[in-house]
Amino acid sequence: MQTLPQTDEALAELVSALADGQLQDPELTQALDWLSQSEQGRQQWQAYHVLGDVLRGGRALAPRAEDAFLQRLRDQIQRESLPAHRPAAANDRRFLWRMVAGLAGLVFVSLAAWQVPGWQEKFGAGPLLAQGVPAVPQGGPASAPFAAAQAPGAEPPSMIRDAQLDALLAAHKQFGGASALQGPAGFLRSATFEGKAP
Amino acid sequence: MRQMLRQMLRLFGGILLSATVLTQAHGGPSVAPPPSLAPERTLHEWLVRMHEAARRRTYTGTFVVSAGNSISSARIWHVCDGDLQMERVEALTGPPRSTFRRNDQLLTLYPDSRLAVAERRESFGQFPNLLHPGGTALGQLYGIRFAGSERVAGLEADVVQLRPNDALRFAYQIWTEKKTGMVLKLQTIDARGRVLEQAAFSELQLDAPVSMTKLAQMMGNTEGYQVERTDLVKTSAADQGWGMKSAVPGFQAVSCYLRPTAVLADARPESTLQWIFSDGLATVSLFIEAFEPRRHGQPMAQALGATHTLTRRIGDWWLTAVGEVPPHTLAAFAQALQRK
Repeated sequence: MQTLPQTDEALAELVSALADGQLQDPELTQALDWLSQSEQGRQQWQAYHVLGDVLRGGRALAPRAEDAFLQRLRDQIQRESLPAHRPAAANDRRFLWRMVAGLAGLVFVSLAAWQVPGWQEKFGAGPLLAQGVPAVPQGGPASAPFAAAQAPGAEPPSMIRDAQLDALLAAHKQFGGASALQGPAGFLRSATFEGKAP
Repeated sequence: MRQMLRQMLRLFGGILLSATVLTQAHGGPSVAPPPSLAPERTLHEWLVRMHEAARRRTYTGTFVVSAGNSISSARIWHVCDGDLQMERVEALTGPPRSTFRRNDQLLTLYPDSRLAVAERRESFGQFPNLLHPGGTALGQLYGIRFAGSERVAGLEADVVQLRPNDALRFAYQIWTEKKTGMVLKLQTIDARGRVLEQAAFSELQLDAPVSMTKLAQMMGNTEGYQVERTDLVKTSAADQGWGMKSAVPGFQAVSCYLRPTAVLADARPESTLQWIFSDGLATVSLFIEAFEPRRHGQPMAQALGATHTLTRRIGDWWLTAVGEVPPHTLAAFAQALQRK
């Protein structure tokens, strides 16, 4: 593998060039290899789908696996930039651009993390960043004020799972069969939903 | 802001193009037809159609559930012959496990621990109105709106929105296959329009060749497994000394069980009461057990995807309320629950 550009900007330009169709072999083949041979590569392309959708339509129109990614991103951005006066509307145009900017940053950091050889071993943060999972520790300074100020409709605290609660959750999910949507789909949902082995 | 916009546009101009090309290569998002083309069905008709399709069709597919930060998936085989339904669900994430269902009989195999759990689920697959004779009609609790068409798992789907008429329940957006009514995707949405949880087929083959004989053989083959039966004891809340001061609007008690200790993760001296309520779409379970200071800590409210939980001490008892409802609905249940 030939030497890669080492700065975020250079990497971004390379990816941008790839997306533009400006790359020729062997750079083209190499760049495509990076993007296609790994799970991170796949996620990267998904991120670009979302970006394209957001820029074109004002919202993500490709509601497949990317939705979860986008939701995580949205949650994280909300956590990181939550001034008291920020309007809550998720379709706020400014928020939209902030989201795009955040996504771009994430994409660049992800690319850097995954393309710089030895990064993952050295810093151990590679997989986290590459998956687009915000690397802010839960309960850290960024999330603490948010958790403390539980406004109505705010993000509820994430669930602390223990064996006892897991057992009750499983017991509850078994009875999703009592409702219409949860009938067949609910059975599937509970059978699919990650549970603890007894 | 303007500078950032310019930078963004320059940087992502190329991506835009490529995303467009890629989207087109995948068929692209479908364009919703004008509302005049909306199939005219009532809420009840939509639900019956979805319900019947999932029961009566034979299919295989991959099902993905995304809740909170976790994504789970499973492979499913479903076959129907007259009144007999058989299903096999192979979890692709988490601990390896296979679940087999023959009507209301369930068998879950955990190959790692060589454990097989056999159970019977009463009222499985019954339509909620059958469970709610004389109850509040679903149509009074939720409004339905046709929201166009989209493609899911390669199939054309009608998109319908179920919106609650009060704040006690979540909204749903459902993608149902145009010809059969099969639910392809389901989103649970809160009052602010956020998707709390979504479940969808990423791939689905309708009318696939699935052998009932083969599934029955697999379900019958528990050799090498320790088979545990988790028979629930049916009871009534009144018999157990519990009642509701006032009903939570739209929710009706559906069933009540005593769960034996073996079912639950840790051994405990007495069983747990599970009192189940449903509004026809959402389900709430109230788990009641004797209060033990050692195990039961502070009252808490938590969420995992659309599933919320609330714990609270009620005298000598400990309540854990679980449901696909907003937290204040669980609080209403906790308020209304009383020891008789």
